Amino acid sequence: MPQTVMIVDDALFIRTVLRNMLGDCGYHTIAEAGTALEAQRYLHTISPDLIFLDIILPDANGIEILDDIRCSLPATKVIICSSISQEQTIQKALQHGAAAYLQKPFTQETVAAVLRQLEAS
Amino acid sequence: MDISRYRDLFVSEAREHLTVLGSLSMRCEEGVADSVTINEMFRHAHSLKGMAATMQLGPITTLSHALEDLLSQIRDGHFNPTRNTVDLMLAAIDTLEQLVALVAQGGELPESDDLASRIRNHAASAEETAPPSLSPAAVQTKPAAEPVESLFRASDENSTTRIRTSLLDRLVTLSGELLTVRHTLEDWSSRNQADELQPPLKELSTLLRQLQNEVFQARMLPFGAIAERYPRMVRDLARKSGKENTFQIQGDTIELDRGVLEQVIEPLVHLLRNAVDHGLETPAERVACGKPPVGSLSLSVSRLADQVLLEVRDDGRGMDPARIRSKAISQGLLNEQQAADLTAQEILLLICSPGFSTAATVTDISGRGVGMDVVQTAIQTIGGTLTVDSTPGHGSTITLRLPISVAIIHALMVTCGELLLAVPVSAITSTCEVQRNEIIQKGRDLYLLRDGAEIPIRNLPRFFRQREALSDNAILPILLTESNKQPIGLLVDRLLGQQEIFTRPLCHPLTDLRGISGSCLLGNGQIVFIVDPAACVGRLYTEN
Repeated sequence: MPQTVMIVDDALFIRTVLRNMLGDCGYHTIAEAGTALEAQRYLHTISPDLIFLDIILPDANGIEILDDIRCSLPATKVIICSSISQEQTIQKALQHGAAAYLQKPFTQETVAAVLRQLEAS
Repeated sequence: MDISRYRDLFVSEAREHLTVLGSLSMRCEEGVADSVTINEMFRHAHSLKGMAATMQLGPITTLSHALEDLLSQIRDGHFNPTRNTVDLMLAAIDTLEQLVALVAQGGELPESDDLASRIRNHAASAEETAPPSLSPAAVQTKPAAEPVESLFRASDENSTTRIRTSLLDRLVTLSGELLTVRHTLEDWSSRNQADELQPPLKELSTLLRQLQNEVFQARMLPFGAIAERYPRMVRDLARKSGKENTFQIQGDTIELDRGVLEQVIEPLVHLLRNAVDHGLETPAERVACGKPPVGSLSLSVSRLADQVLLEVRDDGRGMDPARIRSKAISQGLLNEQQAADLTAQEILLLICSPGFSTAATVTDISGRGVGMDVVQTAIQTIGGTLTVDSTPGHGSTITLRLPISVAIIHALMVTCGELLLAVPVSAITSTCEVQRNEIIQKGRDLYLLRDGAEIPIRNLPRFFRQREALSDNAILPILLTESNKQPIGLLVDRLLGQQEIFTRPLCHPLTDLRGISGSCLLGNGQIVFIVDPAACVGRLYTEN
């Protein structure tokens, strides 16, 4: 049974590339959102297995959305994506319940690695 | 990373980011860049860097990273952007545009380390010398809580989209052809008394008309859509020629047909270049004349009844009618007597004559005399007019008047005797070629025998006084049209083919011409009149 994914990132380009890379790994993207507001709308209507969440969105802080997701969809695993490589941010995200961290810019290999890491756990 | 898979998306998104960055950079120079603007610029540079890094395009990543860091330092209040800062920003943006263009072509990217270093060095030294005037506390460092009004294309929320002009043109053509087919259906249904078809046909009619209206509306764009490029161009020109001036654009929300807009881009480039290069004086010259050292240049768009006015106005040295007149005479354009008969306005319009230029030196920007006549031709092609107003020593205003309701119609080109005429395709239900023996003459009237019925024919060459008798050809082309739901034929000499034309309304006294609804200018400069079929056939029924 293919796993379902939602992608939250404000750049159309990033969403497209990630969607294709996930597709190549056998993961099916069922929703994309460009802002926190759009993402929140989806939380009541779909339940993806995974959510790739950019930590910096135009209208909100990714950590706040992370909390919302953990509330609405406790079974969903959230992967935080960011180009910021600060240890503090990563730790904070993990503390708030993120299942994994994907560094940007990502490649097919790093995406596959995160997926393997999640499958193992 | 398979670049080719994402090339088009990357290029299109990158160009959007760079366009906004270019526009916002201008605000930095004008001193109106607030923290919101800088933050927005930062986000665009950041996004561009992210995309380039994902695509593994090193030079673009390096340069946009340097730009991003520069903006981040300005945003955090470490220094204030100066003119040199903006120069570097624009240089980075230009280089990035060139690199993106190379990506589009699939070419190799040259290194960008030099420029990136210069930007980083500038940021470092500027920070040392300039006292920060934006206190860090006043600057937002977290993302704004509400989405900021941005020049960037709205997110999916606002559901706008880009569409190619050629696609829109095809939609216009298709909707016109649908109307023609509808005509044919109605024709058939009334001839075969298919009453049941009437209601759905009526509905089809209504829907088609709505479709046509929507498609025409979709062709309208605000002037601002093309105006983005001008501030940057004016700035670069001014710097290059040592001029200083403000540049204002007014009326950028006024909407025009996009075909017209596309035609007006280049003419405006010429006019603005002329104004900066020839119109405006250097600061020293201006002060010597008692003017403020900074000149003013404006581009304003306004609506006046059924016309759109575009005015390019400068407060420079103006045009000297005496110089223009003597130059025109020396160029052999006209003699002393003719020159003496011209009004001041007409003399100024002489600058639109091919090859004309009174500039003392030919700079590489303009002054070759190829500008104004090209501008005038382009404006006339879309049915507009150009006028020049100027006061020596005080400045010049070039005014373009364009019809809003400029119709770009699909027309069938036909010959009638010596005349080349255009017949709107939307008015034609079908065309046919008939033998001479299918046409019967009753008195002065002609009729086409078709399916046992007699269809009245108007002999267009005779109508337009080309000659009296039918041509000698064995095959005669007839355009079938309708009047009061009755089929009528228009007999012509030859069918040439279909093309799109920009229609121009007629002026008095040409408006008295019967059967002619407008004119158009073909690419080769030929004037073609547009036939109004309804007016040609109208009299046939009043006669009966």
